[in-house]
Amino acid sequence: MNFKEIFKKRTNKSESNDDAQQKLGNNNHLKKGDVIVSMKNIEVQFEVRDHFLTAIRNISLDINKQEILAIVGESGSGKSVLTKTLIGMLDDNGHISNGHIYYSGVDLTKYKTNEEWMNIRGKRIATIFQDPMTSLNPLRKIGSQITEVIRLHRGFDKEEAKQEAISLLKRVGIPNAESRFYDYPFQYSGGMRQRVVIAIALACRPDILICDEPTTALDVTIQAQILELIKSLKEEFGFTVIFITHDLGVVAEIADRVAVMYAGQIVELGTAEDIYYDPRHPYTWALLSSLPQLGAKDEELFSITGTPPSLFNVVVGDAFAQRSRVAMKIDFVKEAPLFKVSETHYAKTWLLDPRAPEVKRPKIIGEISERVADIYSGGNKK
Amino acid sequence: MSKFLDKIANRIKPHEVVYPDSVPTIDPVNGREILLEVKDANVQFEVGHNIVKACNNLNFKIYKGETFGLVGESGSGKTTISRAIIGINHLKSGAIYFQGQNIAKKLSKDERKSIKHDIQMIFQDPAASLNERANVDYIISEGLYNFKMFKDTEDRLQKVNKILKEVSLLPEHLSRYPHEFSGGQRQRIGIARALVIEPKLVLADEPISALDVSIRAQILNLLKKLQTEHDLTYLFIAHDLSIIKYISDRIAVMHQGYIVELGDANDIYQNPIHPYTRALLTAIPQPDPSSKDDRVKLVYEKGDINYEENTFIEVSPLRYVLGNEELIKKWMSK
Repeated sequence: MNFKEIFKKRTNKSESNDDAQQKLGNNNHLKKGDVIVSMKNIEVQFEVRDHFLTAIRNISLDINKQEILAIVGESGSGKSVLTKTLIGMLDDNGHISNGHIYYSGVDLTKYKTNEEWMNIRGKRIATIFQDPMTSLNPLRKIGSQITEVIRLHRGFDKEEAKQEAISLLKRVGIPNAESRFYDYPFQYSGGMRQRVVIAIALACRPDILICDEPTTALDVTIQAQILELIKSLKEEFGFTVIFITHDLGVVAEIADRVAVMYAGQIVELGTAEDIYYDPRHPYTWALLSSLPQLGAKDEELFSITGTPPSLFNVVVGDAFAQRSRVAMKIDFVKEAPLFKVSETHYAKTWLLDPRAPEVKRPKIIGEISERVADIYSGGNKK
Repeated sequence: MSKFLDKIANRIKPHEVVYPDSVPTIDPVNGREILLEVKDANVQFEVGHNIVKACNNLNFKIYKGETFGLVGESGSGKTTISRAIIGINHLKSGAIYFQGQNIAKKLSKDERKSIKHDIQMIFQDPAASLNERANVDYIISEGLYNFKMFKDTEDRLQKVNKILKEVSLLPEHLSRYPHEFSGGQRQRIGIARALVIEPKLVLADEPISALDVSIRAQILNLLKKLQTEHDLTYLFIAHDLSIIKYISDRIAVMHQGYIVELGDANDIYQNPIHPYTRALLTAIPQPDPSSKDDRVKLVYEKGDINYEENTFIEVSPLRYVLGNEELIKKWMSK
């Protein structure tokens, strides 16, 4: 290929992407519950030493406006990769090898350069990470870090940006916001830092807020406050929350809908009630019944044996079959389709096939509410 | 100058209370055997000109064969007291009795060694606490070498293999290095390493916090199984109340260097008295979506409660709350 051809190709690419950018519409016309992001057959691969690791294996997911969607799964199940795909922040060795992501009338998988992503990342889809200290610059004052975002994305002048920043800090619950505007991150406590990060994330009025384990590094009492804050801000600003966590207690606390991920796939998707009171996938059963929170003192906890399959290889059949106590022959041969349980509830297991034998769920599944009431009633006494 | 003198005086101030070198090991209240007793323990750190009072007048007993849970937010002093028990931090005042002997005073080399033999630790992050340049065989045998607990190589390998089997690892794992294992397996190595020298008391400092959800249950089951098999006593440290109920018999709740409440695990969950315990309980995210709406999340306002002026009061047998009579009456009426 000669230089001319390469050059031609490049300009072509940027032209087509300009088209994509122009079409990026706003989502103000959407009502609560309308689909805001639609992922279709997404597959993400990473190249590691000449081998391909398939981190996301064919995921289709619709995310609705103003909902809190929790993504649960053990480490390595691909929950963070899925959200990174959404903001184009995959590591250099990773790429979307198949599928489409539709958002505001554009296909995000067509985006290639950082400049293109800048219109989405931070501006339309903001992210909060686990450790607030990694998101904040330790050498700059809190105030300048917030006003930077406001001035860059919303074009406010210095004084306006300052007023806006202070009102945001007040809104996320920072006392004495006017004076703390001039403090450095180290002068804030862990919970307060996470509040600042939330304020920065909200500075551009994003459509979608991705929370990647935002409370894992915090103490329980602070965690409860941050969860409450996210919920109330969601009502006020009307954004959509994608909440990544491995803590099923936190999920129950915050989520409207839950997606359970295992080995790069969504194995079960439903409302929080569906997942906690009527789970269908053996992996969801295992996750719920192994919770130490629900264990009674004299009984052994249910535990998941083995390890997830290596995603360097092609996974044959159900990825969880090796570790499942109720696996059938077909689980080792053929992958189950996503069966529909109800309008809101889907599960990827052959157990839902009409030909499958009846399998008893672990006993603990039916008793969750009773157990919780039994164990934690003390704190609620008035 | 006077500031300097004050500091010196503060340092060499004679203890007002003299603690005996040994105390009886049977609790007169219930006749149970006390393995560890912490009495009025104070730990302080000097940071520049400031003094950080990390542990203040801690009092608790751990009975033989039980699991004692220590809960508190980060910085509450729970790790500090466990390090004081094993002798890493020194007490400013107070005493720690292990099997009736005071181990917080200056000990001879042999005495210190015997305590290290009887008290072992399991750490939070096995990836950080295991020697990454040593194979599993050496990591587990190190304690045996230190205490010369074997006759010959055969005897040593037999002991190592026995403990390896008990923590569900395979003999072929012996020649591997920590980085070759998964998180759960690494924690099993950490447990095997601690238990191979047959300690009496195990200090488990958040042993499952760094682990993945799917393997927490395995490790908790393993710790419970080993406790009955080896007749172990655990001091189990955790930062929240969600998992500690399952493993503990008795719980102490710590806040800002003080134990604010101590008692039977069920009792604390069913009937918390101190407002901090209540706030901690309501803050637990419960795995039940329908419970979130009718639950009131209490926020703990320390307000005018001054821990320094409060005393540790026994409100019912073996149930202690930090406060004064007036406050406790107020809290209990709620």
